[in-house]
Amino acid sequence: MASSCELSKLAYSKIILHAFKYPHTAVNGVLLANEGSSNHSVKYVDAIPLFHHNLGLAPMLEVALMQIDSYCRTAGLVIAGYYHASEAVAEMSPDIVSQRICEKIAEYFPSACLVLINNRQLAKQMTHTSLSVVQYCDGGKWKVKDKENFKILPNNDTALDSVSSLLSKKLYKKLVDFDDHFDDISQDWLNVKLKSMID
Amino acid sequence: MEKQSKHWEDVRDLFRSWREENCRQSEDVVDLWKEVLVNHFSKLGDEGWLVLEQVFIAALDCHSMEVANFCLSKLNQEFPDSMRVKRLKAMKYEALERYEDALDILELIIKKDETNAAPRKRKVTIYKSQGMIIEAIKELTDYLRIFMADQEAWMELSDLYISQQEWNKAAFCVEELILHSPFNHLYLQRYAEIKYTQGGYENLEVARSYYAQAAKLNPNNVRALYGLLLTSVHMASNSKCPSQKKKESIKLSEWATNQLSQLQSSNDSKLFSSQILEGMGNLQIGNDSKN
Repeated sequence: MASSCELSKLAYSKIILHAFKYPHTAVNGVLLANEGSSNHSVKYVDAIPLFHHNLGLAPMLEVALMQIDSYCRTAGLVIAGYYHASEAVAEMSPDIVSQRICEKIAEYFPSACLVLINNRQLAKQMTHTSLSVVQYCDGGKWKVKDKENFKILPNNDTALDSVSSLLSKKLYKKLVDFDDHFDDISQDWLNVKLKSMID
Repeated sequence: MEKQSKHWEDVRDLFRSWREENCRQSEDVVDLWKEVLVNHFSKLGDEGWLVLEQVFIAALDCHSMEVANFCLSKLNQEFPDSMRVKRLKAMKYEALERYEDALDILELIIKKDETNAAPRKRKVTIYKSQGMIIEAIKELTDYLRIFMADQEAWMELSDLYISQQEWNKAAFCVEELILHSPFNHLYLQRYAEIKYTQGGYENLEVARSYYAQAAKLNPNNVRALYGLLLTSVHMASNSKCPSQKKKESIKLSEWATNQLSQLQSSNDSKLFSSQILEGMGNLQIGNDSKN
C-alpha cells in the first residue's frame, strides 16, 4: 500500500486546465506513473484527460484506455490513477462510475489513487491545491489520504503559481481530451504542444 | 495574448450565430460584450434585448455578477411585467445558490401560465445542481408527460438515467429521440453506447447494428466507427455468435478499421486501430456479462 502520493506539475496542471476548460460538466481522466513504480510511493508523472460528456458510458472509455495503454507501453508508463471533477459544485464524494473505473485500474496497479477535484476551491488565482485523494484498499474500500501524504511537485506553492499563470493565459483552451479527439481526430490527446508550454 | 479589436457589427453577427446554434461560449460572450458591444448597445435596436439575455446568461455562467445585474436591470426596465425576465431573475438566484428564492419565482410563473415550458425545466436544473437527481428525474418525467416533443428534455432525461445506471430507461429516452429524428446519426450512436454499456450478448448485437447505421449515415463519425470496431470484434470472439454473423462482424471490423485509418492518415499519431485490436481483451469496463 503506497504511503505517499505525488503529482508532477504537468499532471496537476492538466487536471486543473481540464476542469477549467469544461466548467459546466463533469470531467475525468487517468493518471500515469512510471513502470515499475513501487508500492510505497506513487509519483504521477502525467495525466491524460478523457471526457466531458457522458462519463458513464463504456465503449469510448474502453477505446480510450486501450489507446492510452498502447502509448504507455511505448513510453514505459502505466495507468496508475484516475481523476474526476463532479458536475455539481458541492459534490465531494466519488460517484459510482469513478469508483468502478478506479477499481479496474487497481486490478493492474494496486495502489491506484482516485483524485477528486474540490470545485469550490478552484479559482483563477489558485490558493488551494483543490484536490482530495482517496486510495483503493483491499476489500473494496476507499481510504482518504491525509494532506501530509499527498503533495504536488516541486512544492505546492510553486505548482499553484505556475497553474495560476497558465490560467491567466487561458491555456485551458488548448487542452485536448478524448472527447475533443473523437470529435476531431486530428486533435492530439497527448497534448504534446501544451506540455512544452507547461514546462 | 493578442487583443484583436473587433468591429461591433462582427461581434453582433457572431452573437447571433451563437444564439442560433445554442453554443455555450460564455467566457467569450462576456469578454466580447465588455470589450466591444456594451459601447454600441444603442445601435442594436430590438436585437439588443436578445443580446442582453444572452450576455446575462453567459455572465451567470462565469459568475460575473456585475455584468449580469447590469443586463437584468436594463431588461427589467424595458419589460417590467415580463415572465421571461422573471425567469432570468430566477436563474440569477440559481447562480447565487438561493434555490428556494428561485423556486418561488418559478412556481409563480407556472401558476400564471401552465403552458410555459421554460420555468418547469429550470426546476429540473435546480434539483440537478443540488445533486438531487431522483427529484430531477421525477420533475423531468412529469414535464415530458405534458411536453412530449421536447427533444432537449428527452436527451437530458437520458443523461440523468445514465448517471443512475438505469440503462433501460436511458435507452427508452433515446428511442423517443430516434422516433423524432431517425436519421440523426448522433442519436443512433448514443443508443448503441447505452446498449453496449448495458452488457450481454443481445445488447452487443443491438449496439453493433446501431453503430453500423450511424456509421452508414455519417462515415466521419469517429465514435460510431470505433464502436463498430469494438462491437464487431467482441461479437466475432464470442462463443454465442453463429459463424455467419462472425464473418459479417469481421468484415464490419475491417471496414471500420479502414475508415478510421483514412481519417487518421492526416494525423501522425502512431496509435492505430490495430493496436486497439491487440489490447482488446484487457480493459473491458462495461458490465461483466459480455458473454
